[in-house]
Amino acid sequence: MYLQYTVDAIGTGALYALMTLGLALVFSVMGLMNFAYGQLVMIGGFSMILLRQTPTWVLILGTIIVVVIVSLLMERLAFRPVRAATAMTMLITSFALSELLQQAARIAFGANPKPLEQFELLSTQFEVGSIFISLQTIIVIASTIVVLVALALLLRKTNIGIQLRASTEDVGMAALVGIKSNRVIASAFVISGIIAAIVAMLFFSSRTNVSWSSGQSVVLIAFVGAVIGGLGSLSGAALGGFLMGFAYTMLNALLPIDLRVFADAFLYTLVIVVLLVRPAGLIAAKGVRV
Amino acid sequence: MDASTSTLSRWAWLTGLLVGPLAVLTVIIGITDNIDLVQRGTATLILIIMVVGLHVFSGNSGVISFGSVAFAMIAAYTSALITIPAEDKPSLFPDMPFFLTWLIDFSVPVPLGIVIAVVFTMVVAFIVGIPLVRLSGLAAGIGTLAFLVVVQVIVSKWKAVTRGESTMVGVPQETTLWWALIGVVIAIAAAAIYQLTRRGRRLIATREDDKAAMSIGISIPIERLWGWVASCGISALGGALYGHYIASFQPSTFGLSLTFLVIAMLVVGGMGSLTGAVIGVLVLQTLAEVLRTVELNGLGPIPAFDIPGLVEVILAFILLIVLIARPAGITGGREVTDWFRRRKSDAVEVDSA
Repeated sequence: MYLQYTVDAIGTGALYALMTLGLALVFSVMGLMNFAYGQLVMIGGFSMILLRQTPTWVLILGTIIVVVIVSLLMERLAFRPVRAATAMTMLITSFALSELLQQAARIAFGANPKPLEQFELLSTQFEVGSIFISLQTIIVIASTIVVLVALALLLRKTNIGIQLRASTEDVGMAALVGIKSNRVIASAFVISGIIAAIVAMLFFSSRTNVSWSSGQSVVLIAFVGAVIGGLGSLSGAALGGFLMGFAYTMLNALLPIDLRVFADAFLYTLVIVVLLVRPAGLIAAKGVRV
Repeated sequence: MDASTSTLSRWAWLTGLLVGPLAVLTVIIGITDNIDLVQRGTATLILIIMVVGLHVFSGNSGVISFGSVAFAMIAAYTSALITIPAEDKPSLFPDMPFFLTWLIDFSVPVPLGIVIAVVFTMVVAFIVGIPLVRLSGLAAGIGTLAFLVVVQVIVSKWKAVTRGESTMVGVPQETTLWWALIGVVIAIAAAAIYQLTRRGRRLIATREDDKAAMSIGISIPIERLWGWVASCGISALGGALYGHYIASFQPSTFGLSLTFLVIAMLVVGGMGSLTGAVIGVLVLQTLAEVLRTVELNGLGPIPAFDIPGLVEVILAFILLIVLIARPAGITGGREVTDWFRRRKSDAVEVDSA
């Protein structure tokens, strides 16, 4: 029983860790908590519906391209002009953008959730000893590991990765030694977009529909996960997101039935406690470390 | 006015300059007696109270709070619970837990109910404020957001007392345009007193330079706690008045959308100034109402449109443009009294921000 809960919780945790990572990457480079990040995931969900009948590789590639383009447009049109403003102004800018995309999706796709045809293959169950693991869970965990490793290699071994890390340490100094801030920030939005697209595919493949309001819950989890994990540290963000998902699943499984409806209240009280004990997050680091 | 003007007269000026135009507008709306206008005016005045409430903490301390609406919600529910007529209560709350059964027979007039609700909310604010005000920056944002979620979940799921996600009905509908105006006067006068006297000045000092403030003996947690409790009290006043204005509400009435609206109004007006809080509400509210009217009736060559979401898209777009054009808000953080001072003389500039 407990083993089964743990496996499920790890699956949810891995997905939440990915969500958080995409948000935290942009934050660490330009200090922006991008609330519109959840809408990228929502847009990914709708492009899956539009591409559902195409071969799988077209669906995957198409979704990634659509989300990355929207992510880049966000940076160019909305965030670049307010880059020098206070964190609060940037946050509200991202709220406005989030609302804009959400309502635009409502006009384009209607107020009711759009059905998404199931991916039957993904619900295949494997029996390992006394527990069941679905292919979905395995793919989520595997994707998270692949993305983490790929991100680590990108940040350590490539030119743009090193520039990214330099900019997270000190944007001004990095600019002085000839790193082009615009290019670095744009590339952070590209990576964040790719992660959002992957999250969208993993998230919606286990659901039966996509709604214009789907992005809201995603960004809330990522937002909280990034802060309790430790801002500016990517491994901290992944850990924070993972713990959110893990704790959420465990609370829902283990709380007495009467109290189960209050699971969110317990979870967010825990969040407040973590913040009070470690206001800078679980792993407070300067610069990007993976 | 110059730097030597006494605090009392500066307070009177600030309050008067902000309340005066609002009162004139309210009286004009009251005289027209147009139901539509009166409703929109009342809602706008109540929003001003809530935004002023947020300003007292976030504006003066520079610390983000997503929690102000949670306190409006606590006050709205508290006031509803103690003002619903006793004869209606047994059917509305059949499962009231044993330690609250005394509430069934307890019913007070609405004004007293609002006062009790505000005081109760301030006590809650004081208790949760002790840990919450120790957080800064984004941790403060997340901490207060987490508190909002906790209150939301409790109110949504504690069906026996709050009626859960089903609507809270039978709340006496007594908030009028004039009540809302009185609420605004109280909120603005209190906010102005606070930020022009010692307590508020200390909090503003911690916003401007926390280390310098500490070095002259200012305790940041204590000053923030004062501001926090005052701020939550004003938000509570807005929430209680709102509850008695719409008369039936549910947890989602006080959710993230209202939170974002209140914060957006403060930022558009200009964080850090009371004038900004008032102007932000007026500008965004006027825009929204004009757009809704056009949506329903059309305007000149523009035909009426019936596309749910289009008004929101246009509003969000305008909000984006304002933020990009004026990142510090319409007032740039200055008070209305500063403009008068500059116009009168070029005497020594005293930064009151």
